[in-house]
Amino acid sequence: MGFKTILPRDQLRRCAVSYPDKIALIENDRQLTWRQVNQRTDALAAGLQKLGIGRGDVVAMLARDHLEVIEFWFACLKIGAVRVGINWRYAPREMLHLISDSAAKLVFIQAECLDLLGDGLAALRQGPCQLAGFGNGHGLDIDYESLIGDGLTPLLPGLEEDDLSAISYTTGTTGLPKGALWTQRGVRDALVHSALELGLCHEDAYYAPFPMAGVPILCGSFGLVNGLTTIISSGSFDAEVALQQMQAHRATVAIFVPTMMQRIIELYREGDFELSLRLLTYGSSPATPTLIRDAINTFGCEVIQLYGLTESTAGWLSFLRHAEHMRGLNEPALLTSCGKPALHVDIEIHSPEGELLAPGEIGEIVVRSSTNIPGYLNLPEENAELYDGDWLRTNDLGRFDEEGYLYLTDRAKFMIISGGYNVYPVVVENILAEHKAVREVAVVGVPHPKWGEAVVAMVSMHAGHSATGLELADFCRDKVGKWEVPKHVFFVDDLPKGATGKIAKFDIRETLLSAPEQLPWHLD
Amino acid sequence: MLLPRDFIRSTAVGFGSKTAFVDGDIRRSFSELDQRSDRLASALQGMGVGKGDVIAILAHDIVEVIEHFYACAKIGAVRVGINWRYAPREMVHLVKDCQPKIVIIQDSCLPLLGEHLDEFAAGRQLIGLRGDHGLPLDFETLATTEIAAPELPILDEDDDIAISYTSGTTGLPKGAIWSQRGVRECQLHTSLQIGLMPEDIFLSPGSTAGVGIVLNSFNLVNGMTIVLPGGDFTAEGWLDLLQREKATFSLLMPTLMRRLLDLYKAGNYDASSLRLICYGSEPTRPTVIREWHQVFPSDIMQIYGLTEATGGWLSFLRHDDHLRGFAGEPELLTSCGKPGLHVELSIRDEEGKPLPPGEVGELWARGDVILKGYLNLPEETAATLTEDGWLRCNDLGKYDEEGFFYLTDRKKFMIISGAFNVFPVVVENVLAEHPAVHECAVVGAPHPEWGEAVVAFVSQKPGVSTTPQELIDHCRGKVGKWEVPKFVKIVDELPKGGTHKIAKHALREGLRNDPSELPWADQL
Repeated sequence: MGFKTILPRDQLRRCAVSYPDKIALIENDRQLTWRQVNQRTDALAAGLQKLGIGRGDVVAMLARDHLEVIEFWFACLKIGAVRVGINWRYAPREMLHLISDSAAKLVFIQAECLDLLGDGLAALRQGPCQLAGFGNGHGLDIDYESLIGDGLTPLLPGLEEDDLSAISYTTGTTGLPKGALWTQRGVRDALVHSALELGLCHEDAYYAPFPMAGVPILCGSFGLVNGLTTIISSGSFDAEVALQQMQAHRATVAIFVPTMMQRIIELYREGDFELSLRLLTYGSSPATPTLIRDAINTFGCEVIQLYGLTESTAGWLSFLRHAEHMRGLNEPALLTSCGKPALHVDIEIHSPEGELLAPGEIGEIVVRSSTNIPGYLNLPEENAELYDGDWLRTNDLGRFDEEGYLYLTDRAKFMIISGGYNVYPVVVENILAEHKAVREVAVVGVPHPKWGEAVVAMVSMHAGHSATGLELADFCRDKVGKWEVPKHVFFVDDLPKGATGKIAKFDIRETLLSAPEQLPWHLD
Repeated sequence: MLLPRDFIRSTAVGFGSKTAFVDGDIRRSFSELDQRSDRLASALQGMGVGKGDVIAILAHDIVEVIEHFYACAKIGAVRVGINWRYAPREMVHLVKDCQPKIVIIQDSCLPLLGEHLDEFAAGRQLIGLRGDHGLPLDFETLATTEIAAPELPILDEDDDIAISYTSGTTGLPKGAIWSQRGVRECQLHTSLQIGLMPEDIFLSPGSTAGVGIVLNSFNLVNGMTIVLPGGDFTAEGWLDLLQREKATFSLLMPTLMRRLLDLYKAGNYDASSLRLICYGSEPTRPTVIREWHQVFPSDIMQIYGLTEATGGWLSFLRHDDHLRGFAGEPELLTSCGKPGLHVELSIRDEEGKPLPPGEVGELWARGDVILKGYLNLPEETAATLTEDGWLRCNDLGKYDEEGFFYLTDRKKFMIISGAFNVFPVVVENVLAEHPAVHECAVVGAPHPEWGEAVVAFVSQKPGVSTTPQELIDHCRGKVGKWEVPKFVKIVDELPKGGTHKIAKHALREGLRNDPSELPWADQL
């Protein structure tokens, strides 16, 4: 048989065959049909090949969320290059880490992101990777639009399902982002199954205002499996802009995190917007019954909650469906569930010894799926811990109830989710500990009206030293992502400890939760 | 690598007590289907069934047909559906061809075998289904008796999952061998292309003996509810069920749409739940489609599929395309649409070279859904599948500059009568056995209810005479009910072409241009 199983690049080409004049991507007043996307990504892919990029070579892009981010990704898929997205919110140190860790051969930088690299840009100019730019005045040797303008045709190398398609960086537990290795198969299966289980249609216009450097690049790729239209948010999230974009481009399906939903609902009620939303999806943290009720009443649409992981190629692992949200309005406990397992995955709860736990028992959530990553880049020790047999260890703690609903009870290692971003406390703790005044530090997440959770640090100081909260936050600012910078710092003489002398982080958080008046923000 | 059996399990986990199938008064949940098919699978293994063994079923469109399919999928047995409309000699041919170890027979189908029952059952075990079948083994008992879980053999994507019989050109049905992969890919991608949702309620046309079995298990990939016809499809039943179950989606043979329209207009039915109907790609009269659009509130889509593509729906004429057709481009209504994103379609000349837009040639298709081959028919297999994985669809067609495909003719003058394929040679061979028949030619003629009807032209041997009714009676019991000629015309001599071949084309076109001789001419 000369036939090989389809890969994402095949689906792209066929979208151009079957739906050439249908809009594939919209970003404000720019829009591209499937034919145009296919032609432009062909030319870009050929341009990359001319620059020496081949199957398996890593190429990166530092940009805000524009059409080019998706085009670049599709071009990589065509020639088997491995895509790395660099989040513009990263500190320069993290950006440079991504480039060196992935051994990128070429980096595209959007003109307006050049400054974000700080001194890093000069270092990058020393090599070894090629630099290319897009947007007015980038001043780099290679220009994105010129490559496309050359109009070359790429040679399509043979690709296997196991070939890498991307390295998706995610917050690491040890201080620097770690690169999850995505395969061609993982991307295809995540797209196919997520689209089916959400019930996405060819006629839908999908809006995902998430930073596409990481996992959400897949939210920008659903059109590959059914030809739907993707609306690109262009830049960072702003509720007012989001409403205008959804209205202008008649978004029928959107994805937010609950904190975004809250702001959008408030603005929508104040303003005079007309939306076409039929389905609102949200992820990363539970929503309150009030928020769900508000969303359903305000937009008159259905609601689905999603739970996914970078390590499962962003593939959503469970869904809390609309009917379950309706039930949840009277049974609020159900709204704290992240739903039932997706059809393409198996989920179990395991004890620390790797034994299967019964409903009701809390343990680590483990996942079996064709979307699971083969491992992280350059992290053999983490990789050794990643799997227990066939089962991917998610590091999330959870339980099933008797009905089969999954609950995330606590993130392992106290992960914080702030404004949709994962924050591992140890990352921030490591930075704060470098400050000369800091003796002990513990970072925890506490509820925040805007961000869902906010990063809060509790610090004790060395004798004879002093520092202010603002000083410590400033100290973190160029070393971690913006979302990782503490929103508030408590100073104490001694951090609470457990019996073994370990900092009792759980107690710290409980103390803060029980006395929210200590926080500088007001909670409802 | 997911197989259909994995989805049987995961729908039970993900959708549990939700209704998977409605069959008359029966409501079967996803969990119940999983459990009952497990028990049946274990029982079959206890009877000695192993991987690769064929298990056939002769039944109407009832939920147990699905359970049998799932039991086979779990243990790697190969499913064969026997159409109850077949003549006894065709049923006997099927079991001789595929050699099932076990045949499940619905009580109401036992009398259909008549005097052929012994020949049919020789060397096989029979399991009775529903009613008072009088057989030693009973389906319901096997599906409900507690038993250890079945052993799950290791299965490969290329393993056989079913043999689906379709009208053969040589006089007897031929078995298309489907793979595990083909069924999975058909279900995933057809559902994606149509845009089916987990919340959909699919009112099924049944037809589970053949390709319909794939269609009737689409809910494996998205958890929707399927409403079976509750026996056999009837137009009245369809409307009743639509209203009772608030169906949102249905699939119809175009030949039935005329009758449904008339009934709907004359009755007082509530069809407001229906959001989409798909209809098959038989020769359809645009007037019916146009009227359907005016009368029913739903969207419309045409889909074109083949048994040889695992039912696999290859092309889709979308609602928007229909609207263009209604608005002034009527030729679009005769198109079968554009290729699904999981397949490639191509028009080839006699030498297998691709043809440009506008030129008529044979339609070829390639993708994961293409059959493995025909059972026991190596020559037909070789003539149907090319070395590089293309399926020769046996249909003539073309595509236009926009990429819309059109089926212009069926090769070998295939007739589609009431959604069944009829190869004229099948009927001609039977007619030729009659002592009075000198020459005969069978063609399709337009019919108001069946789309096309089988019509025979016969010349008599010198000194022998017969009547049309005698010839019709002669065919009954030897061919399927839909293959029996609806009209026989006795002529002195059949028209011949230059090579003395019967000019079948002229006969057919003659009836099209002047149908006045047909008994149903006034209804056209």
